[in-house]
Amino acid sequence: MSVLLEIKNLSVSVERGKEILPAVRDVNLGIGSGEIVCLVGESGSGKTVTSLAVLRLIDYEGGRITGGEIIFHEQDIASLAQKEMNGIRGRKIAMVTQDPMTALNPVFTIGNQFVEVIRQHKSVSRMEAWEEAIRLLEKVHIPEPASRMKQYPFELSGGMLQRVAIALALACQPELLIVDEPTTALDVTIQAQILNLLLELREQESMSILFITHDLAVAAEIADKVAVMHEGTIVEQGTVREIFAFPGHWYTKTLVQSKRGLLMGSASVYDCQDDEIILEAEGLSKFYPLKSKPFQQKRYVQAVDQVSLSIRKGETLGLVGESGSGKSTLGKLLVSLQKSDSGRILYRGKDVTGGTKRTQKELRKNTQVVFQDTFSALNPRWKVEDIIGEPLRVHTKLSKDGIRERVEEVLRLVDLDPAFRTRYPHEISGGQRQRINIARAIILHPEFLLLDEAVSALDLAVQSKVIDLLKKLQQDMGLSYVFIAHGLDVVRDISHRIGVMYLGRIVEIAPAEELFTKPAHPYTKALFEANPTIDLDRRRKRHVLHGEIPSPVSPPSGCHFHTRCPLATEKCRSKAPVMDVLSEERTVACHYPLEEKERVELLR
Amino acid sequence: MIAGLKKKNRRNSLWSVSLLLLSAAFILFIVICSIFPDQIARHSPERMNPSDALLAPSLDHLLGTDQFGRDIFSLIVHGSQQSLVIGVLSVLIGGGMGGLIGLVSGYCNHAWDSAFMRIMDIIMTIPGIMMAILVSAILGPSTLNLILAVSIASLPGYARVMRGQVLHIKDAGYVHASKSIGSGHAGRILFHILPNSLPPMLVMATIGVGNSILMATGLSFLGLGTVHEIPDWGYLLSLGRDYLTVAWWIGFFPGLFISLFVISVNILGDAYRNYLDPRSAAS
Repeated sequence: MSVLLEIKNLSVSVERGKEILPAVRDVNLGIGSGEIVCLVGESGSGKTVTSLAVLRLIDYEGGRITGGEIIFHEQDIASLAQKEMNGIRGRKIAMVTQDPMTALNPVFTIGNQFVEVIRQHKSVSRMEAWEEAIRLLEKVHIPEPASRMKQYPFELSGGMLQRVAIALALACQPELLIVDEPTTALDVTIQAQILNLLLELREQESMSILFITHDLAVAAEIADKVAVMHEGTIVEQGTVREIFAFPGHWYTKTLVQSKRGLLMGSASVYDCQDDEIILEAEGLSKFYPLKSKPFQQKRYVQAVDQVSLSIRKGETLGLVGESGSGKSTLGKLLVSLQKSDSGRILYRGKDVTGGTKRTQKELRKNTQVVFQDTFSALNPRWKVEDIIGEPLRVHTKLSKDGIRERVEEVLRLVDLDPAFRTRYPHEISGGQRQRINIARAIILHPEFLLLDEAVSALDLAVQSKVIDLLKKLQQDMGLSYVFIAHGLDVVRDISHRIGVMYLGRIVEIAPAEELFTKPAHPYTKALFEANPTIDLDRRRKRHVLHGEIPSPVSPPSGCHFHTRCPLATEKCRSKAPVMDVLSEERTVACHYPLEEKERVELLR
Repeated sequence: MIAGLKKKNRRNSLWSVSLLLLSAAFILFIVICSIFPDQIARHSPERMNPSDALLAPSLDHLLGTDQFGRDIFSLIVHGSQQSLVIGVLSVLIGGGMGGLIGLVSGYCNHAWDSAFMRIMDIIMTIPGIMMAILVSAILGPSTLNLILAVSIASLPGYARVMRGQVLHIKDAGYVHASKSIGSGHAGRILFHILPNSLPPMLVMATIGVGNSILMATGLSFLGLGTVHEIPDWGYLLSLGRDYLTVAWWIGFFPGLFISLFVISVNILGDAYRNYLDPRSAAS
């Protein structure tokens, strides 16, 4: 295999405000032709800076290549003029970024953007460019490409847009495609589709791919070669097998172990013997009205549809599902952050749905929320002690010293130095900020915590530490959690039971281990199959769920899942299945639950 | 290269600090002028002397004289009180009321929002100067009415900016968190929404000071503004227009003072905003 791109001793400095920081130091990396190389590392490790240096786009981000060479076709990219780079960028090396919505211009149609790019690089007529664009869209498996060409970016889903962005990058048959976290913003099902697409394109176009990701499992799925970055240097590189079977560097070891740890240490031991039910939902529904024109029938988004569930004391109930499945809305309904349109919520057997102000306040004291965005959840103008002390000021009449004492106590509970209380949110790291959020949530000794994607924005190593903290707090304080996340491994790790949601309905609830090993609903199975794994032997031997989640404005008739279900029958199309008890602790809403072996085989 | 950039940064911060000090000094000077005008200016602003008419700036008349032989510097010093009061008060009233309207319509439900915003739209359709003329004409010319007129004309701008901010901030995580903790509307508004919505208002207010002075000028020019022996800066500026070709100093220096004052208020406002924001305190 010949080497296409070779990075030799690359160092890059980046200007951040008033400081000049060395972002990348002495990086050596080779990419062979037709090879997929994964650059793995946590945020701030220099992955993106390296990729931007290869395109020399780093010059526009306040950075400078301070040493080393980037050899591409016997040319040193590091020393080329920007004008000469224009001949390479897009033509020889193309790039796809994380957020396709910002990569495409919102005021032009998809077609116009293709025509512009194609005509920039090739002397063809508009018509020829248009047809070329349709061919490109076909190549990335976009259904009805001709009509998509006339649509605007906002009319397409995230997965579709990422396909468009990839097609756009392919316009000039680049030899090297740089993809920066292309699947991070997508659901696992769509992620699996995009990964398959990239593998397929590599075969067809014989291009090389530099794949940047923070997710080890994604790297394990797609890479030929993996390079692990940490604090601006590559600490280890080798083939996938070398890296995952025998990680050498301590950092790689911790990464691989924390990923494995998630898979092993699931909360399978049913340690919450308490059968006391804390929170119960009965037939909860929530509709959002859509803006409609006058004299037109009002239309609604069915966010949550007739959901019933119960949470015991000391138990964690995980909620999973693709985005748009209504898990976040359900969570907000449970803690009364939003009012339900029908159904009841029972807190310790008492109906709190239409409660008076007093019962509402009592409920708020006992149910708390931890949000995904660690930064926006904290008032930027407040010190940590004011933030954590807010619940005390609302619910108690403690003196200033009393509040300070409790704040220090709770800071110790979440393993933070009490000295943190005088800091501001922007002065501390993401993981620490989430601990502050948790501290604020537990300071009143609540019984129930809603964890809405509470660890999704954190790096893997930090994530597992926060999970450990949550488990510890649950044991010590007897907390009940509802844990919402799109990362399936995390949910499996922390949950006792897991509920799977699809288009506003819960389709299956089961104890975590059983759900993962013997899923009963075809959707559950598809979701888990799409989940990337670092188990190399399972790599790419899977069934990928095709299509995307339908619009919740007009959900499919009968069983919502029938449009994507490989086993759907006439009955599924016409009649909605009800939640059926399969065995103790297991309920599923499917006409043909996957119990019998032959039906499982059908899915292969 | 790195050393060079660091040097540049240091020079930048030195520059901004001295700029801040200069602005503060200038505003202090204007405030002193407005309180003790007689101690600052040697000539009486009311003394007319035809033989001294249209004199160019000299040691005796630092900024020259106007067509009646009045000393421009004295006029500016004595006029500063008028301008200062008009500029600052009208911003306080307009910004305060506009901010309140914006807060209510941003925070409350759709019906209140629509009602308030339509009223603001109506005010907005009337040109600012027309609005001010209307108020002055109804209530009669006086400094207080002038301030009121200018405030009302600037209401919609403040209300719109505040509303936008509140709409944005009320969906921030910490506001939801505060709600889930159990704090009421007042707590959420006072402790979370208001402090985080104010910075753009502050910037707008600092620019508003200059705008108000200029708008008051227009009214004074139309005879609807102040009826005072000593004209305010805006009126001085409009006086100079007729003599721009023969005696540029009559219009130039009042204009310069207005500009310098607006810029100084702006710089101070910026600094104050940075001071309030803990994120920029580190740098």
